[in-house]
Amino acid sequence: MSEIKCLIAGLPSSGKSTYIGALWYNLRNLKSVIDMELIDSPENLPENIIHLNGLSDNWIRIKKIDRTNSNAADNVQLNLVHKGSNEIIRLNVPDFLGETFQSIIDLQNDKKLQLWCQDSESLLYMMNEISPGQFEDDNHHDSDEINDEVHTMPDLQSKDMTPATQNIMILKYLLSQKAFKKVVIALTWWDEATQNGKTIVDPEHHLQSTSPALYNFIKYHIPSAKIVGISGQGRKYIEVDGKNPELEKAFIDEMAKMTKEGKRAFVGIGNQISYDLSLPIHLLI
Amino acid sequence: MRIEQYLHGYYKGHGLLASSASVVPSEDSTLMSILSDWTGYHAKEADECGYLTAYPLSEGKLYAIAKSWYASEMARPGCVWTHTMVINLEELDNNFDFRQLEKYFKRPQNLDFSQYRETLEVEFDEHASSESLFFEFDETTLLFLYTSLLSNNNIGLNILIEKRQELYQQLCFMYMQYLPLHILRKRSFSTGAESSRKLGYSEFSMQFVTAGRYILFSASPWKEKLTPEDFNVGLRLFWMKKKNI
Repeated sequence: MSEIKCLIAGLPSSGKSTYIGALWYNLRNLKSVIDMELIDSPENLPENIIHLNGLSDNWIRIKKIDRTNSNAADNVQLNLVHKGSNEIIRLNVPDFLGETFQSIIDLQNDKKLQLWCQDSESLLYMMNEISPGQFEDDNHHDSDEINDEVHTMPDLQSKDMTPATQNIMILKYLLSQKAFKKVVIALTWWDEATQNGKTIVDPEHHLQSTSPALYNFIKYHIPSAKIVGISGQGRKYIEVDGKNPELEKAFIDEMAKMTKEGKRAFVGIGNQISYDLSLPIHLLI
Repeated sequence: MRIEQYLHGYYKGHGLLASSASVVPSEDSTLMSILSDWTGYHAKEADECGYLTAYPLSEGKLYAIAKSWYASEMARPGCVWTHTMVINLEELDNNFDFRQLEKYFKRPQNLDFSQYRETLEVEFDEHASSESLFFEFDETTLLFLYTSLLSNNNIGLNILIEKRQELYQQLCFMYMQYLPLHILRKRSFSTGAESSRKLGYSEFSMQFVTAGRYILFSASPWKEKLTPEDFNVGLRLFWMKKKNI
């Protein structure tokens, strides 16, 4: 059995836990659409299963997954076999808080993250926002139009940096910690970029055209990195609060049908859409 | 007495939203950021009293007391507001009463954070009473917990939440009030978590949880084995006096 230690990293809200929850559900219930299979193992520790079940329960109920709380089990271990090659893989994935990665920007390095980085062979880096941001000059203000309010400088917060800058800084840190053998860059919330998977969009071209600096950084520093799209939720959830019962019922029924058929969460690779959520993991082997 | 305030909550990730202090040591701000985040605790009933976290900062020179409320109004599930007051233990006088801090905790309203940018001025004329806790918890339990907190070998107690959240908060405030300062500098409390919380690499001195490893007050290991008479007579007399203060 080969053991692959994989770091899943990304800013808060980038979809790390949603992906893990959806993958766990698909591994257990949708064996026909997924190229990897779970092996029953006593090494799947109970705490891990409770944590994984918690994530997948919310996913199946079409409920937004709670933010990973500071007490959640942070190490998820999956023992998998690849159906094609029969290769057995023990995948160790930490479900770190997004804030742990965000704090890197503020030079507050987490020792646990540092150790995990040094111990990992591969990196799955998830990004939901890649915008290069807007600058004052972009608005073409004439100098006399700029009022005092615009010139009042707010407190500098790293959270207000553009998403592209934040991601570059975090990637730069992670790459400085370890020369990962394999890296997969996942553009998450991929349902939004592809009209729920109806429009074909190549994730690499999307990144290149939307955020050229981030794309160039990745291509220069990790030329072998694969760029994929992931929609863990399958589509944007609507508010289910009983205010619009017909619409809500129709939405839930459709999502339930897609879940049952294994056509909800999906991965975009090149010009293809696949419902096999283990594909990004396979790319890390 | 002047107390610095901090408000943590969710804005593109959990972090500091407002503070009255201009400079905070990096280690303190990292710890506050972690411990102000959600613990996974869901109140059994919709209550507004949140949960309490108290812990030393700056190697025990300062003491942080924080109240967290689940932020159900946020779009993302699992967010909290946490109002932290940081007390300089070097400046405590005899009138200071931890139990009266409760009234200064404020849950943010309408995204107005201005009040947290002002240093809090607190003044206590008289001490509060903890008498009501003696009706809620038996004397042996109160003495056992106090002895455990006093002990140099304190390894942390995880206790299942069986009663109203506010009672555990009052209990923690009472122990903060009655622990000698040199002991308090090393003690930490948490009244609401899904499972055991850590303070860095250590356990909290006393914490209340809803799952995981815990002891139950209703069936505690000391219930049949100890009576108040088993505790040091000086401690019992001290405790009897506190009962009425």
